[in-house]
Order: sequence, then C-alpha cells, then structure tokens
Amino acid sequence: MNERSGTRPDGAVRAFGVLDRQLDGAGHAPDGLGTVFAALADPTRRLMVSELLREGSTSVPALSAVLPITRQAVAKHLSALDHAGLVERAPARGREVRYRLRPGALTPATQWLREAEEAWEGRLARLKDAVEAGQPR
Amino acid sequence: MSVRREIEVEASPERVWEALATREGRERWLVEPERDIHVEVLEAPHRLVWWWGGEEQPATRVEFLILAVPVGARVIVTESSPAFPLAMLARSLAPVLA
Repeated sequence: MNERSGTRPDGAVRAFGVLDRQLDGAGHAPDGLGTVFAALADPTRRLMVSELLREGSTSVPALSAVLPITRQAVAKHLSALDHAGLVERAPARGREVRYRLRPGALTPATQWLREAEEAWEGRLARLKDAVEAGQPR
Repeated sequence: MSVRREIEVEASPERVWEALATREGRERWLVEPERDIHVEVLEAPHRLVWWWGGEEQPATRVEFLILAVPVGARVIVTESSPAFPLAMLARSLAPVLA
C-alpha cells in the first residue's frame, strides 16, 4: 500500500492521480465500466433499463408514455445509454425504431457489484479479527 | 450505485479508527498493495473517506462510518461504483488541455 501526501490540499484533487492513470493516451477509459456506471447513475436511465429488462425492446413513444418526460428527453437518455454501449437498435416493427439492451452489456457492472460485496465481506472480517486480537485484556 | 456492508467489532471506535486511518493499522488487515489509497476525509473517530484504484482496478470512493454500540463499534462501509465518466471527462477537458 502506497500512501502519498501530495502538496495539493484535498484528497479529492489528489484522487485525480488515480483517475489520470485510467485514461489511455487517447483519453479513453480502458474498459467501459466507468461509462456504464455513469450512464446508470441517472434514475431516469435506470428506469429505462428496467423497462428494457421487462419488455425486451422499447421505443421513444413507448418510453415517453410511461415516463413523465418529453420524447426529446427520452431520445437524449437513449442516446446516453447507446453511448455507454448499453442499448442498440432492435429490428424494426413496421416503421417504428425500437431499442433493446445490448447482450452482455450489464454483466461487467453487475459483476463489479458482486465482487465488491464479496471483497468487503472478507475485508471487514479481517478488520474485526485484527482489531479484536489487538485488544488489551 | 454503491455496495454497503457492515460489521460489529468488540472494541472501541477509537481502536477501529486506528486500524482504518493509519497505514500501520491497515497493514494488519488490508492486503492489497497494488492499490494506492488517497484519504479525502478524516473525522476521527467516526468518519473516514478514501479514494483508491490501481492499474487493474477502476478508481472508487470508500466511506467508513464508525458508530459506538453496546458491544463496541459498528463499522459501515460504502464503496461507490466507478461512476466517473472518464471518457466524457477527458473529452470535455481536451479543448482546455490542447
């Protein structure tokens, strides 16, 4: 473990050192995990994803019928999901443009959450053991 | 999005704090030398926030709350998912950095 005490005042700023190293030369994240979670950080987009999980595919008019936002806003959110690689165009029904989840797109995110939970389970058990073992009797 | 886990420790919040907030303390239970820890908030002995990440892991924010309870201390940890839209951030900074 490597703790740095930079001269910059706050931890948040220093933390950008961690973030910097995750950008390749072209400024892309090496994997889409950050982008996927950023897309899912928005509650409206999470609703859209659960709608897609339930319905299989959907469209701008269908989503704006169930969400309290304009078609334009729906289209914008869909485009953000598309940008994060979460949705793609589905085969059209008639003239309607439909969208569906890109197969496997959610897997890295759900895997991260599961692994993080398991990791903390283990770390907290070790923390408990270490602190209790060091107790003066 | 984030994950949250908690545990009760039969020791005072101060003893738990020592194990979380000092490097010597962490070496007794945290064995992940590949991650750099950047402490953001130190509010002894109840709240600690750090950022960490490494070559292989995305940067995330970890927050510990340490509460006094009858048996000793309750430790609640929350790790936020790597939600930084890195590519977006880089694109928005590109004109400034160019």
